[in-house]
Amino acid sequence: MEKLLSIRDLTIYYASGKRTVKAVNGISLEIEKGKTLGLVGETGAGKTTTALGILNLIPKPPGKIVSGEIFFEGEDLLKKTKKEMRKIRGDKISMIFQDPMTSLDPVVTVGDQIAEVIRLHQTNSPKEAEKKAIEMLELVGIPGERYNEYPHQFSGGMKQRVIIAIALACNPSLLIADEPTTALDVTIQAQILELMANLRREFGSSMLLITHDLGVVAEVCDNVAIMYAGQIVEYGNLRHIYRNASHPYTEGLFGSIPNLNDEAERLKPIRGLMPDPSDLPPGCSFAPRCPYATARCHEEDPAVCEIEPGHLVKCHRYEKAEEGEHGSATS
Amino acid sequence: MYKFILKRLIMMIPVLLGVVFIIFSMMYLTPGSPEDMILGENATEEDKQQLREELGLDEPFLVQFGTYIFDIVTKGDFGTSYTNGRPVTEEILQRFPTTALLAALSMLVALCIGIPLGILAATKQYSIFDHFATTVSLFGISVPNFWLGMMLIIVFSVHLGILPPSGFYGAEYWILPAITVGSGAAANIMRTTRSTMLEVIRQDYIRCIRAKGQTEGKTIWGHALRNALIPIITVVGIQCGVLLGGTVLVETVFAIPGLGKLMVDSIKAKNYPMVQGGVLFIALVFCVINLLVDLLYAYIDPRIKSQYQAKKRPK
Repeated sequence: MEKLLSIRDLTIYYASGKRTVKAVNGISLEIEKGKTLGLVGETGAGKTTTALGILNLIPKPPGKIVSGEIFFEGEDLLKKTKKEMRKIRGDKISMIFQDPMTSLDPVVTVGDQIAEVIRLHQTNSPKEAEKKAIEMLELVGIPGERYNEYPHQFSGGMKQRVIIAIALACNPSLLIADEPTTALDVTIQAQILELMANLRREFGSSMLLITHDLGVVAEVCDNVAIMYAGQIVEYGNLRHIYRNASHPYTEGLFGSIPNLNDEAERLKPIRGLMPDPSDLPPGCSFAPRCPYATARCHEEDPAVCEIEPGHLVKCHRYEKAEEGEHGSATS
Repeated sequence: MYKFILKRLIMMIPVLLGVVFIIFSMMYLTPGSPEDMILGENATEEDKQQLREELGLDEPFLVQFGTYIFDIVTKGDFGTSYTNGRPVTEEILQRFPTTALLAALSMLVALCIGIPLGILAATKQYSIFDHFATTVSLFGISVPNFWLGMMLIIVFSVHLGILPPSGFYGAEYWILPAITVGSGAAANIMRTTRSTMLEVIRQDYIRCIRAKGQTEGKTIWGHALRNALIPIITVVGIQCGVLLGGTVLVETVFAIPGLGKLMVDSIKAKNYPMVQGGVLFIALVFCVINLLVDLLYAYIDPRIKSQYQAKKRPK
């Protein structure tokens, strides 16, 4: 399968006074053409920073891409000039942000906000851009007559539809959706997810879906990357993650979801909090919260192991398995 | 919208009445009397008494105030100047264009300096330029403008000899006064622009606009500035009042025959009707400017516009 996006060893730091916040620590991931990758993790894990890094929109200063490569359609985005990046943003890679309430310019009509991205990348004619913008509005289920209305006249779900229209207006090959449904009501969430899935199929875009909702991932994604403290701790397809969750953190995530079939009355939350990203532990960053942690986990950063084809786990428990004792480590 | 304007116009009436009452009381309470100024120190007590009766100054305070308001409302008569006998309205309207031009030029100076500097300081926060601009603006706010005027005269007229120190004959005569009056407003506008822009450029929608591939220039000057305009024009409106007030002293420093100089001369001469009329006129202009600012809000921000309209026809 052809790779659309391939990130290698991406590291992004923020300077915060004298401390350095290590937001993203050497992550690697790949997205195939037409597929959806779910990037799952709790708040502060570095998911949004990764997404902004792809678009080169990290606020600099204080942010800095320390190292790594981001190959998109075979070219390294980090080597592009500002002007070249502007041509890619909104056209080939577009992004849907978390909070639709604050993501639209309040003093510009929604129609003009859609037309803006069309004029930047597709046509110089204001008439054509307007026509296309109306088409996009109708495509996301908003009547074209509402072109001249302002964001405050729309509900949250409607605003998110407008944002989706902006993101898809130029038919991007990669859509980055940063928790697109987190700020919405549950009933609207399902509508928006369905709309996104349909449009993505229609346009043939790949998607990077950032979320902390494993239910959404199961519904939408092909592959899943679990992120913790700026690192990807487990990576695989849906079956790998949902049938054979192997990293203790992933297990913890599933344990935190209420399950009706389960006899147990209590949830099994992950103890403790994520480590301070400006002061990460020397060993495995999950070790302080891990129920299986050994002395080695606190001292040595684990390597990534492939426990079955395409299923990667970053944990000391599986390093032995690679050496020939496959399977025994899960007990 | 029209209903809103009408409402605001009606609300001006108590404001203006209050202004008249305060200025009327102040003139009444300050020591010295017009008849001394008009007749000179050698006038007899009889002459003075006669003049007081003519001018109505022998009446009780409230009667004087009532007559003054009554004449304005029924006849549009603001009285006549004690010093030259001409109607107050005529004098004011003759002098006002000069002051209005000075205030407008000062505002132009303030806007041309304040807004671009504020935006640059915000986009390059904590840079050397930002520190420089912030320091200069602090200076601009703290310095009294008549002192700045005198310093500018000393430097540019006395020592360098490139600009005329006073008078009012051509374009070059306007430069120093406009800078003098405008500097304070420029500093205020710059500070407001900087702080508002700092807030706006961190908003999600600005990041969204960048994610669309929009250029940095259009993101800042097109989208961000328009969102930052509400606080900025609020300050501009207030500064218009400060400018009109500021011209009073600065016109004296630069010997410009405007409304401000007329007011200072009239206060010295105890020319009651002139001072009252002048203050009332400036207050009226200030009220109108603020009304215009409020209307501009609606033009700039659709959310405010829909509020105005919602008041008009409640749904």
